Amino acid sequence: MLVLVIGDFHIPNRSPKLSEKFRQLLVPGKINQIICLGNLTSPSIYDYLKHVCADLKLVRGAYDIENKSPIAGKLILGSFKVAYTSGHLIVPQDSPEALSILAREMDADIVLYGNTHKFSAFELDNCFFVNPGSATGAPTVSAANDDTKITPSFVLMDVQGAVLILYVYRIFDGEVRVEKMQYRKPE
Amino acid sequence: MNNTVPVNEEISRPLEETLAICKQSSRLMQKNLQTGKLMDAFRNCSISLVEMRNNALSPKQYYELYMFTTETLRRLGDALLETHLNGTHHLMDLYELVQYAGSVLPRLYLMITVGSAYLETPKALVKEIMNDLIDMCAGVQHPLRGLFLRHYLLTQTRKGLPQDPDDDNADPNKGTLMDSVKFLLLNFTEMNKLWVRIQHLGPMKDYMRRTQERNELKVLVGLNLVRLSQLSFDLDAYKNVILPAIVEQVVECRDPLAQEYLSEVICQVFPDEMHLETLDIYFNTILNLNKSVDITPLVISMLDRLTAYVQRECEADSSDGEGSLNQTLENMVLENGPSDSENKVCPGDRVISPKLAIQEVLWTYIVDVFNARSGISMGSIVQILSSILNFFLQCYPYKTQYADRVFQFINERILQQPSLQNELNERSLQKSLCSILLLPIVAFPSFSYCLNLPNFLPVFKAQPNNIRYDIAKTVLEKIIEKEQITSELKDVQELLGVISVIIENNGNDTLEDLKTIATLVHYLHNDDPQIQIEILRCLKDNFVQAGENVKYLLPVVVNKCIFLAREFRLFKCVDWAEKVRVLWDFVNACIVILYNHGDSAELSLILYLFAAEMADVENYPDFAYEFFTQAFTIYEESALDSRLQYQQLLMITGKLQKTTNFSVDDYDTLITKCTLYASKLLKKPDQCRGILHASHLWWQNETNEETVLFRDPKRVLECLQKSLKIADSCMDQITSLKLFINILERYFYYYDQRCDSILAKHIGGLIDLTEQNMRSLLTSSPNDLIANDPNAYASSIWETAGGFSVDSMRNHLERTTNLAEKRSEDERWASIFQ
Repeated sequence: MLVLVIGDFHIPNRSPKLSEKFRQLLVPGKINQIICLGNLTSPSIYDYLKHVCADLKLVRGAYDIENKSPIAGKLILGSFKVAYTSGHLIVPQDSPEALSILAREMDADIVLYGNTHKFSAFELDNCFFVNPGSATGAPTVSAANDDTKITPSFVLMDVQGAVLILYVYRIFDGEVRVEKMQYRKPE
Repeated sequence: MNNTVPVNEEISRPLEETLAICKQSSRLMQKNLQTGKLMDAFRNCSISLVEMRNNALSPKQYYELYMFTTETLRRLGDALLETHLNGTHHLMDLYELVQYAGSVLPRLYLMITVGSAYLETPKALVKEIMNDLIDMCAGVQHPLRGLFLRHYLLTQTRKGLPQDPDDDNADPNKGTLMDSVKFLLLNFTEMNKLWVRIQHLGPMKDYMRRTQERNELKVLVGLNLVRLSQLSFDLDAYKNVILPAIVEQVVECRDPLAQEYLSEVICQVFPDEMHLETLDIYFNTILNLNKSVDITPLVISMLDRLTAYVQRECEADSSDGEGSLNQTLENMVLENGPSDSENKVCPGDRVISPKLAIQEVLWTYIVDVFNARSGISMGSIVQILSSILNFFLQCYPYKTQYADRVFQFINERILQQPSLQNELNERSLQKSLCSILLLPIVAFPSFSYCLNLPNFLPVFKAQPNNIRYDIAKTVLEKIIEKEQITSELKDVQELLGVISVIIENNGNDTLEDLKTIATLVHYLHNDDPQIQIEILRCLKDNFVQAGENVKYLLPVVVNKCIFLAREFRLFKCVDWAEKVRVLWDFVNACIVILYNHGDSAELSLILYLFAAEMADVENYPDFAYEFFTQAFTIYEESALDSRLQYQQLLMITGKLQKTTNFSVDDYDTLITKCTLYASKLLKKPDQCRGILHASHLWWQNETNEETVLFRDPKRVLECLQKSLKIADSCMDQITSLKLFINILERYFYYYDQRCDSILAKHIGGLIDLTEQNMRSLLTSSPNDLIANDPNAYASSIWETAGGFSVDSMRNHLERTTNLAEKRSEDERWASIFQ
């Protein structure tokens, strides 16, 4: 079952559009479910995602003004309990431990979160955390960000029982590169 | 040969009868051919051919008869050719023989059949037969019959006409290319005369019907020109012999239907290379046509053909590696703008010899057309202008003066004429003008090219609002689609002038278009931050014209400014730090505008937080402080629902906790205020969690930078203990327990962080207390437990369906304590459980 995890578009206020390279990949019929981590912020992105896959789970980001979606959600994938949220309400920000607290509160083995515009995947306290980054490479404030541009990215999850396979799609120098990662649920 | 039918008697029968006679004769003819009885076969055929004199048939019916007859003749011709080839009979003898047929029409059909078969045999006396056949055809002056007879001549001689060039050594009997040309021209002229004559036969009341019938017959005449075009003559022959002859007939016949049709055929069948050299003949002809002929399509056809010709030739060139038209246009994108294109070669120049000065020539002719035809409608003029503009854009894109000439004409001769104002209000005309304005927008790789046509904007500005709106939308779409960057302030200003019609529109359907304008801002960029800020100022001045809709336009400007602060530092121009301070003032002004225009409190608050974050990172703590203050003010002033209020408080807390450049006093002031807000939330669970999160303000996290971290362990503990007290005082036992678990998590967190005010005994005590409350909860009767709506509290943001049961809480507690237990190899952690 292929699940698309994507978010932080910030269209049109920080990015003009989703890269054509990504659009060519995200065609209807290939994806079973979409988990969108917020900050669309244009309704046209919502329509676009719905068109790619009707089963769309959406949570609210900081900039999704007047959006009625919840802050967090949870679902079951294979033998994983997956929690997802935008991440802008986690205190302290950029803290793996705070994410771990959230994982225990929501009783999750996988937590999907965004807001940092940076891809990340790590394991902590028996939980696996995935951040798909920003789909459009929208800029953000970060002390470490002087000249580096944000890399557009999203993640595809393929869950087979107790194994999660992660496909990370990123655009470097105008070309899409895919990396594969694997995580097995600890006993 | 004997005929059973008197020579010149008129026949008048219905089609079915005629066809019956023909079919019967044809069958008999076939039989006779098979048995070699040639004379009998001829006789049968003649009977069939006599029916071609049936005057009761309409053109359509005559055509049907003609098809049948020619099929019969074909079989005859094949059979005769065979007898010639196997030596039984010589075609020339047969040719003589058939001339004894009594009736003219059958005689001629037979002569053509035999003669044309003969033309294809080797050593034939081609020239003699050709001349003979065409001369004899003059004997049939009845228009309908004559047309079909000559058509038959055309089709039969297709393969037999000589094609050899003129040559002194040529066999005089064979005939040359020019002989064929003269043959076809003569046939054409005669057929046209017959065709035109049909119009004038019969009573006036049937005039329309005759026009209709002639229309059905026009391809018969046109075929002559098609045949001509298939001969391989050179330009000289075309210019001096062929075209003048055709054109003379077209003009002299004075018949509108013929003139219109034949002019179009001329345009379509002859090669474009030759058209280029004979435009004078073509246009002079058109100007001399009957006044009732609409010459607009004729002009447009020629222009479009020439445009297509240039495009085709350029694409063919690309296989030589020189680059197709598309590639040329793509390459234009990489340049900075129109000024760089002076050295590039226009497609038109690659294909058409510059000697011809085709741009001037065509323009002159078009103006002649406008002047000569005083009755020409405005709509037609605009259509012609559209065609020639297309020609200039596709063929001479780098020589923008030609395209501009079209707009200049529209400006001076149309828009500024008071006498034409009424016409300009017509919708169809407006739509045509709209299409003209769209042509360069779509064709040029960048809108700057359009801005470089001095007459483009005046024509645009003269259009009514709705047209300008549609054009502005197309401009936006093209810029975004082609991702063209506009970097000159002047160009940005003119572009804004064009799209101002969208900004100032207050309709509800404008929203999508406003978002497109917001997208556009990403393509208005100059690498020099000093110019970039002027661009952003210009944008803001324009966007405020949108009134309430400014909330869709200004945020992107604010974001661009915020990131510009960093760019100033990297650019390192003179006084950059001072300029950034001015920039922050501008950011503030923009957000204030947003806040004051309807319903943007939420958005304004986050933008202030965003600005504060960047101001802090870039080390402008005074501005960062100001922005946080503004955020607090909005937080206080807004009558928000408690849910949103709590979330905003969390966002402020999160951002504040990350700051690094405040003075200790300033930081302290801000975080105290923040914690105070938390304690003032209405519902106790919200207060509890609010203060719990606020505790982090007193314990900044380590970063990669070497900054001084604000950490006050005492105050951290104070916050935790305050939360505990509030949690304990909650009346709802389930919520109370939930809060205890939340607090326990944070105790673990700080213990892990080695915050020295948090002691093992604190945690141990809290674990015991929590477990005790849990046990008491589990043993109480269900009715004592208030089954609370998980959404009752603003801070219950992590609740999911089914997550608020006692069972799930027990598991949560277990997970939390397990975390500590797992670490009990570490003595610090182990000490908790002692």
